[in-house]
Order: sequence, then structure tokens, then C-alpha cells
Amino acid sequence: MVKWALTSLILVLVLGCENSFSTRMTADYFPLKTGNNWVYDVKGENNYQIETEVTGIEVTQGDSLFLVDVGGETQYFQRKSGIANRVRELFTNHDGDQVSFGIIYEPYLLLPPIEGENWEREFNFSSVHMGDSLEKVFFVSVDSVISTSITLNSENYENVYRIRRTIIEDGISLIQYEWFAPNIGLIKKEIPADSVVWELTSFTVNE
Amino acid sequence: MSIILLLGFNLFVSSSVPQGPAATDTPSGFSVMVGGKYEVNYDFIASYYSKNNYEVRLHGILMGKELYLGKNFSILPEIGLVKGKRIREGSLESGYSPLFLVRFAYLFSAESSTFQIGFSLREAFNGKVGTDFIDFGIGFRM
Repeated sequence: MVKWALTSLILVLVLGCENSFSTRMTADYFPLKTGNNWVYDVKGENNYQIETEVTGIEVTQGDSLFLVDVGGETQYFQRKSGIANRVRELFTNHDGDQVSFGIIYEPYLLLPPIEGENWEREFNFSSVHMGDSLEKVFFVSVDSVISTSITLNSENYENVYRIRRTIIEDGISLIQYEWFAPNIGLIKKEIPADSVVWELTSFTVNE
Repeated sequence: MSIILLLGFNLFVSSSVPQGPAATDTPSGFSVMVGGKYEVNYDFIASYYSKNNYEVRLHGILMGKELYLGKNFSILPEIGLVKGKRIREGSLESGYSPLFLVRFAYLFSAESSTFQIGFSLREAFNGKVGTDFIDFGIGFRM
């Protein structure tokens, strides 16, 4: 009886150990469940905090979209096996009017991430508005996916994936670096051009 | 192979279903376990998961001790090490992962061989105690 109790105890303790490969294989790097909440310190020209929360799910045309409130702005994400898409409507301003080009599914994150992978997608639209021909090009590219560890606010995060995301819209490019931790999600974001850094200070992720 | 047969051949082929936080992203697959018994039970395991352009391949060895509940039920807890690869469009990550597995089997008795049907629960050492894969399968033993 003592032997069994001791074996069970050792087993439970050992099972709680973390192995890097196991973690990367079985963790969710973009957990979207209603109520999940992340608070970031935003450091740049002005310092402030921003709160992000999954506020619900919207079903449109058979698609389930997760509504994520990012500091008051609602962003939409679609989760499919192996990929998270950001769903957004593309606009352009023309003679004071806002002209929509429709909805795009931007490949946001391949899941679970693998070191060294990259992906890109270009969306081309054209439309006629008030007799004028309008064009829109939206390009997204993700590369430099590396596996790393990072310390934020004295908290050490292991098995983190860092990506570089480049978005080119209307000829203006935006490059940002993002860090994703297992079963937490985005923990850091850096926008070098604006010298802005987001760092996770607290979070609630439901199982 | 003949040594394995002499020591007691055991085959278990199963459909493997991922569980846990990444269950949405990890495709289902299949596993094959071939093993035997000599003082302790041992198994060689190979698993393959694939969907779209994402693949997971695992293979390794497990050791444990089979316990019998009556004539027809058996529980086989095993612990071991697998080598794994995750592949997507030419990008590859590989590594080793410890594995804990418990196989529950119902044994159909026969004279020369015994057919078995059952399932196993697998825990990869990812910092959280829980089931990461379930395998439903059939096999036989000699």
C-alpha cells in the first residue's frame, strides 16, 4: 500500500514537470474564450494601460467570430483548425466618403506556431464610386518566427514564439514584433517605427 | 521479431484524438504500439497526425507493468520517451518528450491468441496534469 502511494505521489509530481517540446505541441498560443482578459502597459511617447477582452461570439453567415475588445475598439477573429484569422473590413476615403471594399480574412497566426515558418497574403480590390475607379491593396506578411524566452515585470515566460508582422496598406507599411506565450496569448508587442511597446501586466485565461 | 514473439507479442492499433488546449489545432491521427513482456511490459510506439499542411510524428519506447482486473480487463500504465517532429510547409521543429500512458483493455480470450479492444490516455509533460491524447483501438496479443 505504501509502495503504491509513493509511486502515485512521484508520478503526480513528475507529470507536473514541463518539457519544451510537449508544451509547444499541446499549448494554445491564441486562447479565445469569452471572458479572457489581458492588461498591457503601453510605453511610448505617452504611457498608459490598455485592456483587451474576449467579449463574445458572433455568428455571421455560418462563421463564428470572436469579438475582442482592444481598448474600446472591437476586433474580430475567426478560429479554424491550425489558424487564427483576423476578420476586418477594408475601407478607403474618397472625397469625404468612406468606401468599403468588403471583408477580408487576414491570416493572423498559424497554430501551433513552428520556428522558422512564414506566411503572407495580398488582397487586391477595385471598385467604382461616383464614377471614379478606386483600388485597394492590403498586404500582410509574417516571418522571423523564433522560439525564445522572455522576462516581463519579473515574470519569466518560456516557450514563447516571437513573430514579425508586416502590413502594407495604401502604400504605408507597418512593422511590428509580437510575442506569444503558451496558453496565454500575446504578451508583448513592439512597434519600432513609433517606439511603442506593449507589455503584459496581468491576465485571466479561462480553461 | 522472433525474440518478441517468444517473450509475448502485443499489438495495439488505434485512432488517436488530441485533447486539451491545442485540440482544435492538432489533427487526429493514428498510433501503433508493438510490444511484449519480459519482467516488465514494454512497447514501441509510433503516432502520426496530419491535416492540411500540419503534421506531427512521434515515436519512442514505453515501459510499465500490466495489472489485471479479473480475467478480461487489464490496465497498463507505462512511462517512456518519444522523439517528435512538428512540420508545416517545410518548417520543422523536433524534440524529445516524456510520455505517460495508461491503456485500458478488454481481452477476448481464445486458445492461441487474445484479441483486445480498449483505449489509452496519454499525458505529455507540458506542465499541466491531464489527458493530451486519447487512443481508441484494437489489437491482439500472443
